[in-house]
Amino acid sequence: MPTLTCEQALSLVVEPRSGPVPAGEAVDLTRHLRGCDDCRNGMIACREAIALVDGLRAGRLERDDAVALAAHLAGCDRCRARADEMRQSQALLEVIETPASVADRLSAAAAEHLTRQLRARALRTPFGWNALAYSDGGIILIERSEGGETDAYERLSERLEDFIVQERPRDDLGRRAVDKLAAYYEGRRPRFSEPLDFSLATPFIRDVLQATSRIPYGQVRPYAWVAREIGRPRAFRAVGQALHVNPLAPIVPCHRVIASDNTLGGYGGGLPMKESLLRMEGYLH
Amino acid sequence: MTTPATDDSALIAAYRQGDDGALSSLVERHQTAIYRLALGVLGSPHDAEDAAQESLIAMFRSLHAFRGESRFTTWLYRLTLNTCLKRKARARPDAPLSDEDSRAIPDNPGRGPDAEASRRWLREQVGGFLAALPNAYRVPVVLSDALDLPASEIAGLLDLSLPAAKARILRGRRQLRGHIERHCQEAGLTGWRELLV
Repeated sequence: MPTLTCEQALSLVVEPRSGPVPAGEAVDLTRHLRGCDDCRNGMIACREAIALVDGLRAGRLERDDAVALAAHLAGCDRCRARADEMRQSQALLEVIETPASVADRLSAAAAEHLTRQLRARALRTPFGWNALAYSDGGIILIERSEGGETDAYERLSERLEDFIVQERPRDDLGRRAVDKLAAYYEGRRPRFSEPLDFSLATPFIRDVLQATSRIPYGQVRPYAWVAREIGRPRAFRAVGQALHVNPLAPIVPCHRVIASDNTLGGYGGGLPMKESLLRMEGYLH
Repeated sequence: MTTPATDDSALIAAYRQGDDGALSSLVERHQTAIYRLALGVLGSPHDAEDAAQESLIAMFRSLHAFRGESRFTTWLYRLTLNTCLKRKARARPDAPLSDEDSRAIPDNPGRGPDAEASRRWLREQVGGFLAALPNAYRVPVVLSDALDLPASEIAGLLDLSLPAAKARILRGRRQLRGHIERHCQEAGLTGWRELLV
């Protein structure tokens, strides 16, 4: 009785064909497979074939796996249908391109985001490191850290809960602000004219900070003065609390606000620092 | 002169260092995937366009929360998926797309003189074919066949077991094929299988 050689059996199952193996050839193949351990060991189950089909898509199949899969698919209508479904689905979905209108909108969103993107720059001061966060809208936060530059940046990031990027080469705002802060800590009197972004402050705190900004270098005002300036003369305690969370010290000079009895009151950075700043500005001797 | 960053983490690092171009590269690199996923979840090209933009803005806002513990794409797709699902819940809370809903498929096949025109027409119907799939199948199929994610990652993204994810991908593909077949027959488009190669 003629039987197939292994090569013939393999070619029978591996050869591309549009339908299942014809009945006559299938009988020969079955007979061969019954008697041939080598060929039978090369057969795989549907479960394995489907796993290989997934690998096929990315061209990740080893040659032996590809042959085993082809052999299986040639004889298994169900798996061949699944493989076809996969190819058709991929062919259909892989052509979904981003319409030009979407690409334009996404580019515009990215460009807009960049104008609001917070950038940061740090400087060493006599009181530890200062890190400034700012966007095109102005300086939004100055954090102080005695733990070093990295810690100062991390504090910014935590407080703002935002992605902070380092300064871009063409940025001018951060560089100017840092230069002026450095000059300030050296005892000079820079004029801080950079825009300030009060979006971290409530409306009340913003009013307090804006009034405080008007106190000249080397001078002080009582909490009650600030309260009067913002039209809330009885809110001097709340003024103290607002200044305690000043996000823009020392550009907004909350250290220049003291108690009505000429004692220093409080300070977010600690009273020794308030005293040092007022001494540096010449108010205290 | 620095070499342009070629992978996501390098692009994010470059952006953090102040390179605005790196953000644009990141957007260009992933915009198709974001749009495909949005189209997969929402079915409508118009909604997908809005959702893609919304997802991108959400990505910008929460980039600080990406710690590099997972692949960027896994993180981005989860964020896009959540943005789209929220949008879907907001828009039509009681009306999920059903597998019987094939209204999104246009009636006119626009038969062309050649295979290329037919192929183009068929591909233009993708949104409609997707919309006709039930949610449970549409999203896994898109993640698998449009975004090329392995089943294990899809299972993680959709909070499914691996066998469930695989089963949904297989059933989704089968339904998709069924929809295409039915639609092409109705439209008198023969040989559609050959068009999809």
